[in-house]
Amino acid sequence: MSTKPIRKVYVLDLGSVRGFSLVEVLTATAVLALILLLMVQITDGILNSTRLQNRQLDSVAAARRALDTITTDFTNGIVTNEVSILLREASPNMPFLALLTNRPPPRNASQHRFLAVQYEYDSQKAKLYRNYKSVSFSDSKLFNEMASSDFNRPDIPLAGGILGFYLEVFTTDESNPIKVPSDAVSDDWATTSDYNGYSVPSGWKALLTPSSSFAKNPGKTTFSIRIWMAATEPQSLDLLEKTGKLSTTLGIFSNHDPRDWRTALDASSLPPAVKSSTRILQRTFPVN
Amino acid sequence: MRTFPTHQKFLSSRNAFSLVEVTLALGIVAFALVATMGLLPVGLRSIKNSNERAAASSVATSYVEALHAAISKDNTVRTIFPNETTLRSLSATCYQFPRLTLEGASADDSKKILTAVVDIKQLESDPTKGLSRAIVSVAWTAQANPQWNSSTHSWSRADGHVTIPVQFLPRKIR
Repeated sequence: MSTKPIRKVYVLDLGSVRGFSLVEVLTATAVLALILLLMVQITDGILNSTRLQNRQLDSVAAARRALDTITTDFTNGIVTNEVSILLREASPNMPFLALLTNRPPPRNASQHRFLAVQYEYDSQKAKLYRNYKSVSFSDSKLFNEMASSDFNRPDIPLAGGILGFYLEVFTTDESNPIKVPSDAVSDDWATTSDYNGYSVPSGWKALLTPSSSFAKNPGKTTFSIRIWMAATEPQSLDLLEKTGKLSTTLGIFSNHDPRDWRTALDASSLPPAVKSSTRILQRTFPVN
Repeated sequence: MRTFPTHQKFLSSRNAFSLVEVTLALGIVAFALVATMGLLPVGLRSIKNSNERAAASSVATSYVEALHAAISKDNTVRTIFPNETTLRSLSATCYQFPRLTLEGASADDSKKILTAVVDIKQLESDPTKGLSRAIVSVAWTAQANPQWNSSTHSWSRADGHVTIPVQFLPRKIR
């Protein structure tokens, strides 16, 4: 008689399985809590990094908008023969640059009006202002209007968080560009103190450009301008103000050539967050 | 009469997870965690790449601006490149600017570097005779110095690059 193998039947003996002890459950919970904490920290880090990136993007975008505005002012201010640019001889905290931008006259108006603009860098608060006023055309008063102190200062600056601002005026001379506001602007450069017989106000020099209608035939002229800006985001600026390191930081930028700004910044004892969040921008544009 | 199990009996009759089940569950969780963690370096690399591309783009724009600001004087074309302070006389050749910082200034070897080339294809000193042409390219790499091939207009040993063709007209200045 053949016998069939007995089919094995596994029966789960539910009653005999022991549950986890309290110690096991607590240990598992602790491990899970640790993992969750780690994940929360990672997520928080990523979110912080994203927020920082967004703030940096905002500050760089604001600095770029400021560069755009300055470029437009310079370009409009130089292309006509009637206007020019004044540079302050030396004074970082006062308006260091003044110019007139051409403005279309109102309909049926007999005279042109100009927008006079002064750029002022507040080195105590790291802000760049674009002060302005409307002036009517008058040869004899043009420079005095540009250099006067009755300009309107807007409620908000053109750009905030500007740790460094540097303007280089390149001349047809082979070397030694004018550096504003650190250099004293003198007649040795492509500047003059008189314009077709009208004297430039004291403390200012007028920039010579290739297409200018200056009476004297300049031996050298300005052919391009380069602007450097070091911009940081608001939280880093707050950190610098609270720790009293803002003046040190501003000193780093005012005491170095912009080509060395990054090296000087990296070598400084400033917080790493400030170093990494500071962006250096430059813009070069021709003048003619 | 039907009787319900007491609370004590109810608890003792419930099944706890076996070691196999717990191990399996932990394995699945660990796999998911490892997979998630594996994405982090990819994301970080992507952010780094994006930063380098933005920096290279900004530096390339600076070189393009320098070409647009070029002047023609004494029948030579001159300009000032972003990391220089003096006028450079140009010729129809390829200018290399290795070891630049992310802002385009000169860096030492220990810094993360960019390499820029200004490959001038045609240079016309007389603005009335035609345009000058050039290719501006900025590459970034984490390894060796990248090499620009002037005939194929491509980089070797570069992680990425930003390349801009430029037509410029040097201004005549007395």
